[in-house]
Amino acid sequence: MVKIDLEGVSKRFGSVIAVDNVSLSVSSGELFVLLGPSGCGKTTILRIIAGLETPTSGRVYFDGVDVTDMPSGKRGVGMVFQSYAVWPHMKVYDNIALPLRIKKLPQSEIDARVRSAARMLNIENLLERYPFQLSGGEKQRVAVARAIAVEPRVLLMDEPLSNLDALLRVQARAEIKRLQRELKITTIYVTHDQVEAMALADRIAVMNKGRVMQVGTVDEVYNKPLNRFVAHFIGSSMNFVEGTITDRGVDIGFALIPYSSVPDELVGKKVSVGIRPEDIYLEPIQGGVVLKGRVVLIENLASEYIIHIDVSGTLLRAKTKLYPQGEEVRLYIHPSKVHVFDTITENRIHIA
Amino acid sequence: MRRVWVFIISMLIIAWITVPITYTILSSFADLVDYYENVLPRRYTLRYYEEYLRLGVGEALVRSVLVGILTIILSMIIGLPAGYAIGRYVFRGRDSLKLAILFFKVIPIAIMAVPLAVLFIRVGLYDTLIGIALIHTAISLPFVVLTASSVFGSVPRDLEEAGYVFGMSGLQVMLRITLPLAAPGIAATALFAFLISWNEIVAAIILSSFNRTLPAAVMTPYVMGTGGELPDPYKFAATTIMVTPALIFMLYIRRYLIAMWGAAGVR
Amino acid sequence: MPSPLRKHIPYILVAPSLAYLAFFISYPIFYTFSLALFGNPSPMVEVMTSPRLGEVALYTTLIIATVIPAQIVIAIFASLFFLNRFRGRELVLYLFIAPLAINEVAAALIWYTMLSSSGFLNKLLINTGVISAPIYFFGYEFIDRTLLAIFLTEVWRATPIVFIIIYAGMQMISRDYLEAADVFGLNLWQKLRYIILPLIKPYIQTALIIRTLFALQVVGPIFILAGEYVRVLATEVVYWYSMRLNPGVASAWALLIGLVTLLLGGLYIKLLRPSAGAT
Repeated sequence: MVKIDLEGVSKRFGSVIAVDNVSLSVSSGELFVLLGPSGCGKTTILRIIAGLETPTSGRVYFDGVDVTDMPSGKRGVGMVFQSYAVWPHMKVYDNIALPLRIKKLPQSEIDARVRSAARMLNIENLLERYPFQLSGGEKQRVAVARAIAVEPRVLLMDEPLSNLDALLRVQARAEIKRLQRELKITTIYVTHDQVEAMALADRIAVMNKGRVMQVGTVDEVYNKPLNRFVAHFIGSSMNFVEGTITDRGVDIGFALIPYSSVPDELVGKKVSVGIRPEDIYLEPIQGGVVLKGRVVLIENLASEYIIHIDVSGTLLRAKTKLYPQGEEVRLYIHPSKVHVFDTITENRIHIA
Repeated sequence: MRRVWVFIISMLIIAWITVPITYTILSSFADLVDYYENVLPRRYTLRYYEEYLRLGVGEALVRSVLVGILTIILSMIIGLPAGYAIGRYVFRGRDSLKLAILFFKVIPIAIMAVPLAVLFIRVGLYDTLIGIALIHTAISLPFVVLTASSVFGSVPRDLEEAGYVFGMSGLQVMLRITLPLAAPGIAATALFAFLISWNEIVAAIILSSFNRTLPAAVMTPYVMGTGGELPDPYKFAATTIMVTPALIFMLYIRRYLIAMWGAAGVR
Repeated sequence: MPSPLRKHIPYILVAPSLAYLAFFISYPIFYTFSLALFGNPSPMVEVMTSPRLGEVALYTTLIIATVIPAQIVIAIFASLFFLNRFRGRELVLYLFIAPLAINEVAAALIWYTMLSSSGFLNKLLINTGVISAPIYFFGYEFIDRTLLAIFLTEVWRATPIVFIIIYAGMQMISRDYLEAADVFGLNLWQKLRYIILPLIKPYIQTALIIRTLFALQVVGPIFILAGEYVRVLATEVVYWYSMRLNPGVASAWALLIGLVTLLLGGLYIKLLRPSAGAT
C-alpha cells in the first residue's frame, strides 16, 4: 500500500488551465475522494496519477519515488473508468485476465486471481459472457474486478457509479467501501456527487476551477468549510446573507449574531454569512438567536419539510421535521453554526 | 394508408434497381435469336462467356483482381496510419489536412492520368499492373484515410487507455485492442479500395494498352462502341462479370458508406 | 506513453499519405500545364479555338444541369422515405444504394439493355402491341433521346452518393423537431419547407458540389450510349489521348477540367467551413 504525493502539479490544455498548482498527500490505505463540479480538474488529476496525462509542471510521487515520467503501465495502478472501458471484443474472463497475461504471470496464478476477483464482486456466473450481454451494473463490477485482480498499489476510480441508476448506485457505493476496507488499497475516487463523496471518503479534497479548495474529513469540510465555495458545495444549499462585523458580533441587518471575542481589526468588515437550512430551528434552542419571519412556501419531502421564510425581506430556507403552526414563525439559530466569510476573498473568518 | 404508400414506393424502388440489373444478367445468357425476338429468353447459353475467355477477357478479369489487391495493400499500408492519426490525435494542422484530403478526393483522374502515362512510359511502368495500382492507390487513398479516421475515431479512447493503465505497450494496445475493434471497419475500407480500383476506367485506359483491367478492356473498340463488332449479349456478359462481385461487396460495405461519403465529408 | 517523440507521432503517421498524394497530384498538375501550354501550336490555344469547344461546353453543362437537380430532389424524397421504419427497409435501402458499387461502363450497358432497339422496353412494348416499330434511343439522328438515356443512366447510377450525404444530414435532425412540428400542425410539405430543408442545407450543398465535381469526370455512359456524337470535357481527354494519340491536346482538355474543378472546389471549401460548425 502506497502513499501518494502531488507537488505543485499543473496541467494546461492549450490556453485552458485544467489543474492549477495542486499539492496533495494521500495516505497509505486511505480512500481519498476528489470532489467538485464538472470541469474542475478532478479527472485530470486522476489521469495524471494514472500516467495517462503528463503534468505541464509539478511532480507525482508514489512512496517518495518520482513517477511523473513513468509510463502508466509500470506504475502498478488499477483503474475503473467512468465508461467502465470493458473491452467489448473479449469475454469477461479475458477482460480480467488480459492485464495479468501482459504481466506474464503463470497460468494457474492468473486463473486463481480472476476467480477470486470475480468471487469478491459476485460475477462468477458472468465470466463466460461478452460485455454486450451485461447490464450497466454488471459491467461496473467487471471493471472493478479487473482493477483489483492486478493487485494494484493504487486503485483509481473515475466516477464509476455515475452511469448507474439511483438505487443501484447506493448499493454499489456501499460495496466499493466494503471492498476497499477489506483490501486496504490506497484508493482515489473522483465524483461530482457530494453525497457519494461523504458516504465513501476517509478524506475529501473539494476542487473548483483547477484548484483544491479544501482537504479534510467529512466532518471538517461540513462543519468548518474553509471558504464560501466549499460551504456552498457541501451539504444542502446554504442560505447566504450579507452582513458587517461589529464589536459585538455580526450584524446581518434583521438580527445580530453575537460573538464575545471579536478582534478589533475585523470590526467593520463586510462579510457573507452562511447558515445551513438544517441549522435553522422552529423550536427554541439553548443560546439561540431569535428571528421573526413569515412562511412563504412549504415543500413537503415526506420525511421533512423545506420551509421558505421571509425575514424582513430576506428569504431563508429551513429544513425541519416540524410543520409550522400559522404564518408567523419564530426561528432559532446558534452562533456556533453560523459560517462567516470575507465578502471579497470568500475565505472563512474564524470568529467565536 | 401509410403502409400502402410505403409498400408502393418500396416496390417502385425495387423495380427501378432490380429490373435493369436482372434483365442485363438474364440477357447475358440469352440465345442470340431469342434475345432479339423475345422479352424473356427461352433458351440459354454460356457461349458469350466462353468466347470472352478466348478474347482475353479472362486475363483482364485476373488483372483487375490483381490490381485491386495491390491497391488494397498499398492504400492500407500508406493510408491506415494517417487515418489513425486523424481519428485519434488532435494536432496542429489536422483540420487543414482533412480539407486537403477532401480536395484530393475530387481531383480529376484525367488530369493525373495523362502526365503519369508519359512518366510511366519513361520509367517502364506503363502498361503494367503496378503502374495502374499506383494510380488507383492515389485515387482511393483519400477515401481510405477519411474512412479509417472515422473507424479508428469510433473506437472509444477509454478502451485503449485501460490497456495502457494495465501495463500494455503501444504495440500491444494496437494489436490487442484497437485493431480487433476496428477490424470490421478496416475490412470495409479495404473492400471499398478494391471497388474503386475494380470500377475505375479512365486511368486504366490511359495507363495501359494491352494489359488492361476488365472495365478498360471492355471499353476497347473491338468489344465496345455502338458500332461494336460483337452482338449485344457479349456486352451484357461483360457487365455481369463486372457487377456481380461489386454488388456482393456492397452488402458488406453499406453500413460504412455514411462514413465514406456523408458525415465524414462534412465534419 | 509520455515521451518527447509523442508530439511528432501524428505527423509521422500522416507523412506517407501526404507525400504519396502530393506526388500524384503535384507532379501531374505541373506536367499537365507544360503539356497543355507549350508546343507549336500550343495545344491549349488549339483547344480554345477549336470548333468542338462550344459543343463540349454545351453538352457538359446540359448533362450536369439536368442530372444533378433531379438527383437532389430524388435524394431528398428518398431520405424522407427511408426515415420511416418498415419491414424490409434494410433490403430496399441496400437496393437503392447498390448502383454505387456499379461502374460507369456497366451502368451504361445496363441501360443500353433497357433502351436499345432490341432492349427490354422496346421488346415489351412491341410484344404487347403498344407500338409496332421500336423507339430508337441511339444513333446520330436521335441525340435528344440519347441524352435522355444518359440522363436516366446517371440518375440511376449516381443518385446514391447524393442520397447518402443528404440522408446522413437528415438522420442528424432530432426527432423532437419533427414531432414539435406535428404538434403545431405543420403538414408534410410545411415540415419540408420550414424545418427539414433549412436544417439539411449544408448537406445539400456538399452533395451538390461533390456530385458536380464527379460529374465532370464521367466518361463511360457517354462513350457507350452516344459514341462520339455527344462530347463532354472528360471524353475529350480520353479521345485525344487514346484514339488520337495526342497527349498535348488531351492535357489541355484535362487542364480545363482541372480549372473548372478548382473553381467549384474553392466554392466547395468555402461552403464546407461554416457547415463544419453547424453540424
